Amino acid sequence: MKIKTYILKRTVSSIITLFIVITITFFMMRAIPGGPFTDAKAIPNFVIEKMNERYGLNDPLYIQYGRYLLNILCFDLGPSYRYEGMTVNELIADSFPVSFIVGGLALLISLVIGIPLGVISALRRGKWQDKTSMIFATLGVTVPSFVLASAFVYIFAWHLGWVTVGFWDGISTAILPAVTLALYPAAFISRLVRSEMLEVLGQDYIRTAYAKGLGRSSVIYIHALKNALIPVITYLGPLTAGILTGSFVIEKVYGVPGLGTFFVTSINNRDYTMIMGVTVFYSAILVSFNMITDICLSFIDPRIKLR
Amino acid sequence: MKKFFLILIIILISVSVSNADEEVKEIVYNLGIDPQTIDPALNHALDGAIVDANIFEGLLQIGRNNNPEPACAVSWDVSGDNLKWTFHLRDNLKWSDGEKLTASHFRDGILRLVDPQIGASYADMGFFIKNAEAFYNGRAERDEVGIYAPDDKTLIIELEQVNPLMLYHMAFQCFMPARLDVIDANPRAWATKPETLISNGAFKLESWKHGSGGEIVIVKNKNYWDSENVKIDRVRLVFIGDGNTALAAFRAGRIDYMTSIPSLMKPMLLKRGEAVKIPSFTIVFSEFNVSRKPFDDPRVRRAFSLAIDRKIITDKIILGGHTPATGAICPLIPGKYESEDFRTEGGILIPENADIQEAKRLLAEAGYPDGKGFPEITYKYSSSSSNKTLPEVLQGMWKTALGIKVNLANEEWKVFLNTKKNGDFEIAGSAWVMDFPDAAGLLEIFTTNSQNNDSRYSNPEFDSLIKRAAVEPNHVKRMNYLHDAEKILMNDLPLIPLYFFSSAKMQSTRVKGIFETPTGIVYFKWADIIEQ
Repeated sequence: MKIKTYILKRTVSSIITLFIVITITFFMMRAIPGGPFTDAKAIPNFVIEKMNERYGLNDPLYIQYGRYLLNILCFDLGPSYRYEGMTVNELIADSFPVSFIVGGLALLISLVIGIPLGVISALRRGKWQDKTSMIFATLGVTVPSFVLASAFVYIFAWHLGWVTVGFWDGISTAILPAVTLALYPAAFISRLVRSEMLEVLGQDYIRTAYAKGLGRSSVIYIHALKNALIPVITYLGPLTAGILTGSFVIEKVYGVPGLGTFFVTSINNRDYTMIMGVTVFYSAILVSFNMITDICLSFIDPRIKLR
Repeated sequence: MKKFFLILIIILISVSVSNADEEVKEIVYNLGIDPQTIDPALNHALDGAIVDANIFEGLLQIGRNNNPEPACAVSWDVSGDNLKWTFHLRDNLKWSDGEKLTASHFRDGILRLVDPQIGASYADMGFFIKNAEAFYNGRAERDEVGIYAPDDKTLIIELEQVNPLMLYHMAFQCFMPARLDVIDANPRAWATKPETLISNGAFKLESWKHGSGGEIVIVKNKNYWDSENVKIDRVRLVFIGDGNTALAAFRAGRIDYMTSIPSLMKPMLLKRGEAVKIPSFTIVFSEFNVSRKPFDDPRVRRAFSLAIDRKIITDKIILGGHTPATGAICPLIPGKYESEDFRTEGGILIPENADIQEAKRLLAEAGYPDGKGFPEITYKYSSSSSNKTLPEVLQGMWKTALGIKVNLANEEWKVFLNTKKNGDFEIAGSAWVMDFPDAAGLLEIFTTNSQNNDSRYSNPEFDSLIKRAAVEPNHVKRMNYLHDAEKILMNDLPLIPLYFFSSAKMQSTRVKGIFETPTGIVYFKWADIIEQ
């Protein structure tokens, strides 16, 4: 199949996916008790009436839904209920770049640590290098990010005083959050590379390559690694989408003004338009990265056909 | 090329010289939360009110003795029937953009609060003004509302009914002046950007970055009438939501003032003197749904209250300098006379220590000897982690003292608020922060028609006392009504007061003069940096 037709087809199916996500989120969100104007000090009912009117929340749900769909076609995510006078578009435009910096850095770190670690432990299977990397991977996967983040704050900010947390001063303050964010994927990638590498190394074409007299390093790095990385690339699609859109825990602990916070706070605030906004935004990024991943894979591995 | 370098060097030198000359005095304060809005008419939260208190100034302000004092108004007169107030404004009042500030700006600001098109959540706070409620409900025109500006320096407010808290109200954040020329051009977003947020306080908005880790920056307003006495050039109000992170930032010298201290660290920091206790008008209590069995019986409610040892709670469990609640109104709320506060005058209405024998007797009298036959009940509370200890302690105390097993159920904050509003509970956790240092603020909640009356409590005698207090101009008489009302409430016990919350602050040694009111408003205009 030609790549153009493939992209067209995938785009159409992505739009359908997005439509389903929007529909489910919209109705599920409205089923949660409480609303954007629920407050500890009860706001008088007549005021709530006025506010509902202003935001069109008095209309039947299907009309609100229809209106939302129409607005989204024009990329208008609506006004935020939580942040008076701000639109969801503005809030995302403000916070996404920050999450992008932290996430991009984290992605880089996870690949730089994960891949070599996986290769080393595959080549030194059963030896101390393998065992050490196994410990790292187990810790990285099992220790939750809020524990790691709190521990890092205690060690690096409180105890050693190397970094200050709670303030966003650009890339220098992004390092610690990025490292915290990177540990899980780094651990995961290292395990993925290790098991894939072991499998690849046992295959016939590797033996053939050795038999042809190729050197050990060129066999490993050119022939084996290329194939061992295929599952990593598959994993990279959803990982990139997830990591670039930020993490609630890490942003909260380090005080990073990113997008991840809004995934949780918008629900706590019943900021309906923001809940929809971040969900749609994340979904759009996710389907795009999945598509890019699939296209990349077809180039790397000719056995994978675009369909 | 040579010329270019020469110019460059001159620029560099002049920049470095000018930097050395003006040392910017900056304070960093952890506001903790990104405010929903800082539009004074729309805001109803403490975080927004703190920002407004520093960038706007009303006719009055809360002074460092916690009482209302002159601000934009230098003096005022009251008519004999207490229904007409005339405020005289200062000379040379200006907005942050240099425009002249007049009495009609105050009129516009207060009218915005009660304008139905604005949808202010505190709109009903302005209903003491003549025709304000009628205007809100479309029964009167804007011009019929009793606020007049006969000249640039005089503002007259006519009241619908006597307002004993008039001066406190005029210092409150929703009674600020407004610039309709900028607001009307951008009605929803004017208060989000420094270009359109024209204000009249000691500071003005410089920037606002949203979200966790964001900040609001306010800078000295050179057009403020008392700007000579404002020593601070810049205040950064940061939104660090995580208490431990804020603490780490404080230790690193990045934050000068904070109150959002993690509750687990608070006792230790207080003990070491790193944190200092500050008064707070906050009461923590449990609330019954008195329309449901078994808590429709006042004897059961009393038994539940007597089974609690409040002293143990504040001394051993919820540490941080809180005091056992011996009534509904917390200390420092003014009483009849200046010499004593309301709490001291009211005395001990509920015991600090448990009275298990009496509790058991009351429970048996209500038909549940030793808790036998007592229906299964659930204590509901909101699911933030710091709340968990208290319900567990209460559960234990009721089990040991009364032999009653109480289930615990937590709910997400807004779900919980909804549950309480719908009356879908038997007993629930609650707390209340007062907007004004006035006993009526808390007592009012328990009047029959109050929207905050989740307990469904209704007592005509209590209602009538609160109603009379609301319009009583004589202070002593008014306080007597409120004392009587408190006694009724503590006899009927739709709520069980647990403890009076005590706040704590951490302040770096390089700053002084930051003033925080017991209602939680923080003022920076009297602050300064101490030379070290």
